[in-house]
Amino acid sequence: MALNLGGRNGSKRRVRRNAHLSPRERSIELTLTLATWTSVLALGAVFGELLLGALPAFYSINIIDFFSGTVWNPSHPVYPLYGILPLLVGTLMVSFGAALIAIPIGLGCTIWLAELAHPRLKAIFKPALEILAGIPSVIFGFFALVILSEWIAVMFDPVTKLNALNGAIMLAVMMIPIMVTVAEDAMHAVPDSLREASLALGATRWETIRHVVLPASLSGIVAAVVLGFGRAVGETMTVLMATGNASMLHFDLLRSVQTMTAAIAIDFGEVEFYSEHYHVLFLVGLTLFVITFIINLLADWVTRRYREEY
Amino acid sequence: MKYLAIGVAAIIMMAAIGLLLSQNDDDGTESVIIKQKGSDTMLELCQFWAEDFMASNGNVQIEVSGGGSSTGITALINGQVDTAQASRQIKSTEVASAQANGVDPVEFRVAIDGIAIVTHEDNPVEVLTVEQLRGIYNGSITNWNQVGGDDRTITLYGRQSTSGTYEFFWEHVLEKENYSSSMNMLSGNSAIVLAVQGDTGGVGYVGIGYADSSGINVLDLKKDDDATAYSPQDAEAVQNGQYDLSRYLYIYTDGTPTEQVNLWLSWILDADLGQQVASEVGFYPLSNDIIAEERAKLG
Amino acid sequence: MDRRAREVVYFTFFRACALIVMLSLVVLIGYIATGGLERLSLEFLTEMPRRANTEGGILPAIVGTFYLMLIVVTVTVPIGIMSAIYLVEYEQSSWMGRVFKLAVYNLAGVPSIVYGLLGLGIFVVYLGLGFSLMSAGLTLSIMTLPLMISASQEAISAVPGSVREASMALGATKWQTILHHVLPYALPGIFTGMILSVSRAAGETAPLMLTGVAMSLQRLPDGFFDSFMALPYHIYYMATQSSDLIATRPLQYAAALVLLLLVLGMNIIAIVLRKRYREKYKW
Repeated sequence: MALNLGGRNGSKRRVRRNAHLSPRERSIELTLTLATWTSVLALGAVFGELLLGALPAFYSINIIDFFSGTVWNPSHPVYPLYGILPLLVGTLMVSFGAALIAIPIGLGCTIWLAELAHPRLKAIFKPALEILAGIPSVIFGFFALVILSEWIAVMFDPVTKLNALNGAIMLAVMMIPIMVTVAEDAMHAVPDSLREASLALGATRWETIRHVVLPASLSGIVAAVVLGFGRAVGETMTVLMATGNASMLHFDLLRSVQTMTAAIAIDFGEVEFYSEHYHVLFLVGLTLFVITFIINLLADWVTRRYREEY
Repeated sequence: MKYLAIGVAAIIMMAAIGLLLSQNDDDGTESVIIKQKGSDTMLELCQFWAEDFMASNGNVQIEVSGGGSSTGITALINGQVDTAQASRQIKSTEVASAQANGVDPVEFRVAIDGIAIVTHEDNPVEVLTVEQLRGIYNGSITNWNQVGGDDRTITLYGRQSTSGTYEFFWEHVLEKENYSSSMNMLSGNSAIVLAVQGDTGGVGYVGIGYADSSGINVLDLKKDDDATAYSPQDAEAVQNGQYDLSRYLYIYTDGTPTEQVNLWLSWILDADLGQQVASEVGFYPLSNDIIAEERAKLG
Repeated sequence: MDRRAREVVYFTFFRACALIVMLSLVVLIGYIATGGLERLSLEFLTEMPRRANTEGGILPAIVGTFYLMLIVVTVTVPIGIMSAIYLVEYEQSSWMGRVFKLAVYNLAGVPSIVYGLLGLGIFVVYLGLGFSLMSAGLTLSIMTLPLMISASQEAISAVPGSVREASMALGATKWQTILHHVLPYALPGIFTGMILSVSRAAGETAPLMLTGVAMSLQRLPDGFFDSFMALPYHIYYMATQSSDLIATRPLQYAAALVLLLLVLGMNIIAIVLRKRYREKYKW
């Protein structure tokens, strides 16, 4: 980093930003810089690795067929088929299903937390939410596999109890803590003066929330939803154990599905290294990465673009 | 600074405990590790074998993992494992791959399996012909009432496609036709048992070692309408090949077995040791003639 | 409907939502605890698995998870703290700072299975570490790096500028200021971040699956380049592929309970520490 300083005779002299610091200070700064570069490197490595692994797939299979194919049967002994649609639809079904459940409940929870909760209840609830967020996904998956599926079997009598609904409900429970945390921060940031002004004009508390607080924190709420959705899309273990892993294309919540994440996880235990199947799995991973990347960028953009500055 | 001290202390403690725990077999003898991979059907069997073998051969460690017969054979070809267990025979394409890689697969028969067709315990159907079984699994028969049962849709459960059982079934029952596209591909024998236990219209195929469970029926099979029906639970029928889905279970090595692998295999091919355990697990032991044949290959 | 009545309806719904969420936490923990308690014993925690995982204990899995946590702490904590220091104290608003922040933010959103693919490609294959504790540990370290960086960043930026200014005014160099005046105050927050990162790493399964976790070993890992078992994968494997799913159910519950207690324990410690630290340093 260079600065333009006035030199002798009025000429410009370029000097390093930290030239005035001792060598020790400079070397420390260098070390810290290098440490930080690890993160950028890591992100690049993720993308690069996926690309490298997926590249051979571009040559050996028809990419159009990959993105539009409706059958995923990669290790058929004679005619392997690599259509990603069943996996994509599976991922979307459980994620949207989870969002449908998580958004109302999460929003209700957020409003309660930000506006209605007694401080002492809040002091119990917030840590509880953190604990819920910290529970490993394999435990959620185990619960869904063993217990939640039984409840679904009793309530809906489906053909198979390990289905998309099972995954969606469990994912919703996992999504809610993240959503509530981010959304609550947003609602909390709305200054009390707005609320007080509204109440002073005669609005009820609910009317205040609905017409003043919610619109003011909308960007944060939307960001929360998008982030939660991104987490759901990328979730592996829960859906792996809960959804039955039948890779067929359908839109029935009460039948088994397989998500992109589960397909990678399961098939990898069995795939032959560097075979076509292996590279296609990397391609699925690449697709997944791009999708979650876009979702993350979206969340970030929404936050920055629509944030109300108070 | 207090926190730093605690943190460092915690890390040191963890490291110390970790190192302590890993000082478990420091008696000077070098442990040889044999890595084996492959069939999920044989996984439990091989794990029991490994455990009992290691109990009497302390300095040889056997690591067994699953993934399907195809995975195991591939790992053997790529030199990643010493032996591979498989519930189907190696294919000629795989042999060619192996030789191209400098690997020479040697086949050892190690036990006998009868693939059991299992249904829910409330399902009245008790016998199927091979023809009917084919129809069920290729999707042309979709209701139990077409094979003498109740009016109930058939739900198909099968294995993932790297499974030797999947391939064996495909070759011998489906005669290389496609499986029905509505078949649920599950990743293990016990998953199939669990699924069928919970589904009154379900049908699945598992190794006989897994069929000994409550809540399911094991069907008899007959070649055609007039033939005698045999059950996979009938040891003689399976060993004589009268049961239609009898098959051998195999272990493949790279070339003539090394000293340790030799110990391992000869333990397995012992009527009182490995073969005895095979019966206990629910599979069937080899006859003495076959044992002798296989032992001759040990060199 | 009357305005006030409408309010009551909505508010009841909101309270119900909060109740539902609390209930799901309680139910989840409750079922795992009651299911696992009967098989949880000293033998379970200290013995090797026997009879194809249907008997015996889960010691190798516990030790494996332990080693993984060790690797994560050793790698992620230094790099995380250093990156956080850099991001807060040095590079503030230039384009490089934005690139770094963007990188960290996006790393946090990458699905765990993709990290598994990364670990497989780079550590297992390219660097030749094979299917070992080291590959898995390094993969987990990269995965938890964003978490460590964010937590450290928060802790460091919470230290008021006045502390820094006072130190500099007295003639300290930038690094002296950081080391002796900023970091000590940020340390509790950083420590909390470390606990949360390690706890996250302990619970992850997908990256392990791709970097070679074993499903049954009768010995402990012999160094960091050896095969290993791990708790989360053990639970997954037992619940979906063990030889007798019904008979081993109590064992599955017990293993799940062990993992739950481990992670919960760490999370609770982190929360308690953070509360005490906040009360202590009310700026």
